Amino acid sequence: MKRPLTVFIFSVVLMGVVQAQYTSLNEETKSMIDEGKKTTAVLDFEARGINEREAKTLTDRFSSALGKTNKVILVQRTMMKEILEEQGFQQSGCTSDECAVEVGALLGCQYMISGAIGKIGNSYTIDVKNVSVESGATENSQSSTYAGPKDGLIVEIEILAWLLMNLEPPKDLLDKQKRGAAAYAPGEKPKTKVGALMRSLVVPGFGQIYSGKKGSGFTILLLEAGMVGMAAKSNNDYLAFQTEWNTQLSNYNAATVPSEIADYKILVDQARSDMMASNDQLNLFIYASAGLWAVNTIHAFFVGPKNDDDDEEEASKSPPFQLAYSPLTNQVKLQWEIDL
Amino acid sequence: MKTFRHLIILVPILLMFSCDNEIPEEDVFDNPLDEEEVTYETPALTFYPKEIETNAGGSFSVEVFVLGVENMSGSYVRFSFDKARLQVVSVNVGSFFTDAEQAPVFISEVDGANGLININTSFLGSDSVSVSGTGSLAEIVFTALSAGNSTLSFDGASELVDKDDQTIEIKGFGEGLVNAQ
Repeated sequence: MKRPLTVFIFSVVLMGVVQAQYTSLNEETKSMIDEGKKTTAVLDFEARGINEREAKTLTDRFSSALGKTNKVILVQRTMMKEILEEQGFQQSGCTSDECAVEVGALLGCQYMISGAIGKIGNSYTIDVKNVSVESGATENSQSSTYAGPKDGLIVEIEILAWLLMNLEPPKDLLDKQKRGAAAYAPGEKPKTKVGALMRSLVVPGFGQIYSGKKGSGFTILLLEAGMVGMAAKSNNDYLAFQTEWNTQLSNYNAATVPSEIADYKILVDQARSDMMASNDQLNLFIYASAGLWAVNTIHAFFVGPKNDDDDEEEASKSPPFQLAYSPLTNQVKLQWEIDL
Repeated sequence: MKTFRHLIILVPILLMFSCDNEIPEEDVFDNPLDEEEVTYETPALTFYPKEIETNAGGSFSVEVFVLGVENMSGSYVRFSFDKARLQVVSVNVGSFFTDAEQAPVFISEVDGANGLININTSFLGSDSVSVSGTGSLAEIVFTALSAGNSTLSFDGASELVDKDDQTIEIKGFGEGLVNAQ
C-alpha cells in the first residue's frame, strides 16, 4: 500500500518536472509535441531462449529503428535507466502491461513499449506491444516468427518497429529481410546477375563461385586453365619449331653438297609442318578457350543470384486467376484480378 | 566504369587474335646449288653465294660452281666483274677436281683492265679420270673498291669437256650479285 503512494508522489513530481521542462524545451521538441508525436519509452525485451545481453542489444536496435520512424518522441534509454534506478525500480522483472504502465507513469511518458523474444525449436518469436500509459490499453501489437541465424533477428526487430507505428518498413529493410543474415556481413553488397557476369568475364568460373555454384565455377576454372595451359604449350612448341626451321634453313643455305642440300630441305619442310601443326593446335585451344569463356559468362548470368527485380517480374507474370475460399458464402470462388 | 567494362569485353577477343602465329611460305629455298630449285637447266655454271653483302674496302670470296655435270674432265670458265668496284685479290683452285684421285691442272688469268677472269682446269694424261655432279671449280677473293651494286656474269665462251675432250653443253648460267655498302 505504501508503494502506490510513493509512485503517485513521484509521478506528480515528475510531471511537474516535465511540465517545467516543456517551458524550457527547444523549439524543435516543442514542434514535435505539437505535431502530435507521443512520448514513448521502450522497456528491455524479455528474453525467452536467448540471453539477456542479446535481448538488450535487440531492444537497443528496436529503439533506434523506432526513432527513425519519426512518429514518437523517444525517452532516452540511458535516462530511463537512471530514473528507474533512482526510484529503485527493477526493469528486468517488468514484463506485464500493468508494470509497463507503472513505469510509464514514473517516467511521465504517454506510451510504453514492451516485448519478448523467444525461441521455440529453431524458430524465434518476437512480440511487441504499444501500451497507453493513460488508459493502460494496448494500442497496437505486432509479432513476428523467424527461422534462421540469430543475426536475422536484427532486421526482424527493426521491421517490427515500423509496423508497430503502423508504417510501411523502408525498402532496404525489406531487402535485408529477403537476403537474410548475410545482409549484415560488413561491407556486404547484394549479389546480382550482372555482378556474376562481370566476374566471369574477368576470370572464368568466378561468377559461378560468386553465385555460390562452386562446383560448376571450379570446373569451368579448371577447364579454362587447362585450355590456356595447352594453348601455351602449343605456342611454346610453335616457337621451338620456328627456331628449328630457322636453323635448318640456314644450314640449307650454307650447304654446298647436293646430298646435304636435299637433307636440309627435308628438315626445313618437316619443321614447317610441325610449326603448322602446333599453330593449328594453338588456334584450336584458343578458340575453345574463348568459346568456353563466352559460354561461362552467359552461364554465370543465368545461374547468377536472383535480383529483387526478378522477383517482381515473376510476380507480375503470375496469372491473374486464383482460387479463393469465401467464408461469407462458404464456397470456393475463382477470382480474377487486374491491376488498374 | 563503362570504359573499363568495354575493355574487359575486348580482352578475350584480343586474346583470340593476338595469338595467331605466322607460318613461313613454303617456297623459301633459293640455294643456287639446289638443282631442284634453280630456274635454269643443268649442267650449269653458277656463283656461290649468289648474293654477297660487303662493305666498301672489305674483302669477300665467291666460288664458281658447276651443277649437274656428268663425266667432266676439264673446264674453261670465263666471267666478268665490275672493274670499277671490284678488285681481284686471288684465284684459288676449287674442291671439285682436287677431291678426285688425280691432281688437276689449274691455270687462272685475271684481266683487270677489262674486268675478266679466265680459269682453266683439267686432268692431264689419257687416264679416264672425270668427275660428276656438283662441285666447286675455283674460289675467287675480291676487294670491294667502292660502294654500290655490281654483277658477276659468266661469258658464253665458257666450256666444259669430258675425258674425250668432247664439249659438254652448258645449259644454264647463274649470276652473282655484289652489294657493297
